[in-house]
Amino acid sequence: MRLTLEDIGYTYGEGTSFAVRALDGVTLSLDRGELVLVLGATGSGKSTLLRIAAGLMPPTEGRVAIDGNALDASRVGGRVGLVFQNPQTQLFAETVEADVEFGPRNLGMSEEEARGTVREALEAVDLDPDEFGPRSPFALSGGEAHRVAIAGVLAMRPEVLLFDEPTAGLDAWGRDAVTGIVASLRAHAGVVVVTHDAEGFLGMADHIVMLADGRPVFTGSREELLADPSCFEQAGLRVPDVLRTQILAEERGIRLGGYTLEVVEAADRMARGRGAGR
Amino acid sequence: MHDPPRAFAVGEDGPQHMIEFSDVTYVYPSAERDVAALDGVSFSLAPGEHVAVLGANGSGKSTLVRLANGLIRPTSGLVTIDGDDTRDVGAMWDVRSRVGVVFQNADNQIVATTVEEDVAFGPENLGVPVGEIRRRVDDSLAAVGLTGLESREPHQLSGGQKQRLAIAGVLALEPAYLVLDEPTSMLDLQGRADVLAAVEHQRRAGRGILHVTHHLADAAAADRVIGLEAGRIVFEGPPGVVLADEDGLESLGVALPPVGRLAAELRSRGVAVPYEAMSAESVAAAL
Repeated sequence: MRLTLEDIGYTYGEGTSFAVRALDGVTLSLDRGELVLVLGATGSGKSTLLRIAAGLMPPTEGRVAIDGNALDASRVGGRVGLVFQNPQTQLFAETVEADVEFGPRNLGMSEEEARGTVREALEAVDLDPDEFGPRSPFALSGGEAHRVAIAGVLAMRPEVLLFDEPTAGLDAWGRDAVTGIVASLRAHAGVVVVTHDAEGFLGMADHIVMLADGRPVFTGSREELLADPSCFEQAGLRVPDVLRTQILAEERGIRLGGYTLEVVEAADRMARGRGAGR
Repeated sequence: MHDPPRAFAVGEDGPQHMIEFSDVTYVYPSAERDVAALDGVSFSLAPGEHVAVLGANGSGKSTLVRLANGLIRPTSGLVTIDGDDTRDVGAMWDVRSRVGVVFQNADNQIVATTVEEDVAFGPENLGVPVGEIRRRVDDSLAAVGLTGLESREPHQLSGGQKQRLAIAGVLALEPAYLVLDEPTSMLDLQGRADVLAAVEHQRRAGRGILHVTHHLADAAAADRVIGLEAGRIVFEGPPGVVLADEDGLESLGVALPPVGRLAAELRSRGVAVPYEAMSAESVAAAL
């Protein structure tokens, strides 16, 4: 499986007086097992990009393809799964099981097969199917409901998983849980995470695309981003705190010999650099 | 009509100027078992004071918010606002106008089609004279940094601007206390910083701030921190002391943010980073 977006452009209301250019010249590709992180401030075009990648709307320019075949809404058929922001608001069925089963049954899966995929999906989000399956989705905590909603998408066994701000509104434990789940889902699919919160996902990203006003201001690996974090500013994003602390430390004359995302490593380098400076 | 806000100087026998919870327990009427959402909670908030209530999802934070302005009434115990019992139906409007609540999702609190009409909505409903409404709208928008956006449509605002608009709408009622229920949890870092600056401005203006949050960085900015776990207060103290209790925080279900973990690692390497340092700037300053 390989998802490719080539030179994507999108204009809302094209040809009208209120046309808005939302995306311009965005390219990315994703293989199974990879995580691509799309970073951008509010209004940068990242949600538009996600809708296009999900086949929900065709790009005005450029091409979206899976394994070389053009993607369109009529043929997506569960290959691409999109988890919206605050997905727990989409739960509707009487039990968790029925909710998670809804997607695969709609795709024409047999009852038996769907039941199996429901169990797998709940296990993948760290919820015991026997304990949580019969419960009402409305009696769950916010974090649990969030995970059930993710399971609902997983149950369709998509090859590509797209997440829009997967940690928004969650407390620290909920964030850690969802971040860990997203990381583990790479075993089943290629994953795209769109967020303004670089901190949670930067450490696991294989490729990073940073958008500002619909244009890519950075495309590359984590190492390349760490070598020159100035693009955060260009994209109107705050540098993640651990990285920012290192930049400020260097400004104070403490030599670190490069930036890292690892907290322990950063502390080591700062303590060493501080000792060397005195 | 309601009495005008009382002067802060009162005699010894007069009502205390504060939000006061005395042994408050609340059980939701719909609860399947008799599980208290809040259980024997006592604390107070004075004007000009900023108190953070820290707790994980399900700790009872939102119940506490609803009790603070009389949206719900205690099952047992007492909530008083400047001495007025929230169970007293006669004092209800007065209580609600003195305790302004800003909820998590600003979209649910915005009612009008332009920014200034939205802020004017509250005072209009209370029958405030037109000239006075204009002054309050201008002052409230200035206080949250939205001056110049009066005729914008709310949906054109960013998430942080919308949340500040929701705060302005509450400020226009000129409350003595602001109760904030996770006002920053949906916002990006810049949006959060802007909202927190607007809140600090209100504290300096003499309003009491009760800020319910699961972000330790928010708690670091408060005068006092209350830890809530399963409906009970498990600790209370200044941020420097509370944030130093890493085990206590963990049992509370609020994890140190990455920069807090970095500070802890630096401390273990002999660098004197203060416990309330929860930003890149404050940690770097300690190096």
